[in-house]
Amino acid sequence: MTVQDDMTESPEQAARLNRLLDAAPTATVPPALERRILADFDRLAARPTFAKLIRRIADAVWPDAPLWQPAAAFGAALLAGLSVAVFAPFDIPQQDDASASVFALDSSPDVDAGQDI
Amino acid sequence: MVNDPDAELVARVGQGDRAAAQVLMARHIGKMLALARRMLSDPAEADDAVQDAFVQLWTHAARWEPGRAKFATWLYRVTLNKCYDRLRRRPTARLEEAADVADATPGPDAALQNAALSVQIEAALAALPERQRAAIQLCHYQECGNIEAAEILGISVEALESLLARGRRTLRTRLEHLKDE
Repeated sequence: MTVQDDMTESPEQAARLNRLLDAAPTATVPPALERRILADFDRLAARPTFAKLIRRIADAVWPDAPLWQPAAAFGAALLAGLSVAVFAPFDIPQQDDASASVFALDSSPDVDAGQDI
Repeated sequence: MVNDPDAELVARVGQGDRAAAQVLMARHIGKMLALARRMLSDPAEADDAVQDAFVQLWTHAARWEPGRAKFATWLYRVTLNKCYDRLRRRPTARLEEAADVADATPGPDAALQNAALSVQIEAALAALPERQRAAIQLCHYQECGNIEAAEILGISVEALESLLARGRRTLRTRLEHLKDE
């Protein structure tokens, strides 16, 4: 018994009260209540959630693996891609303005190709 | 870090494991129902309160963080809060009537012999203030330690001891006339 007795409660009084309390009826669990509770579980488990969506995608990518494995693989791939984008020494030749053919679409043409026709 | 015998089951429930949900329910429903019936003195309403508590469990199981608190403590606290919610919604008259409500569940022959005694004890318990009733239910019937019961009630151990002492003193007075077995 874990009841903290009152200072004014003698051991005999405490024992008597505990015996009386033990005589109170105990609760029996109705099977219908258990069925209702499990039906709630089924209903909530069938409800789509963001976490379940992530889990489904992870299962499609890496079946039966714990979630951290596809997440770690995705993170590593992302990091590798970013590293290549930032640090890789790509040499793309730049065109200078002199070699580029620059013209304005709204200026009048120097030559009217159709005037002699 | 709390060593929690339910932690693994809760994690599985969070992943939608029905078998784990069934085991977890079987492990706790008896005590939850006893607590709710004692608090509400109405078997049908107690059933609803316990069902509500389980809905909260099913909803939050995936977000349960093991090690922060003992699962059973959290679950009984949820049950108690569901009971408090229902008690708050009751008209005041029903709280007074609660003292006269007997357990509606039919018992076996042995229980019938003590029916009169049981009814009086139930009535005396039902007439206690709700927090004293909860303290006695947790410490006497569910055999929670004082620290765990205080956590469930959200009070200090000293406050729990005071509730228990006052509740037991009131019960002793009200049950004085009963013959001991």
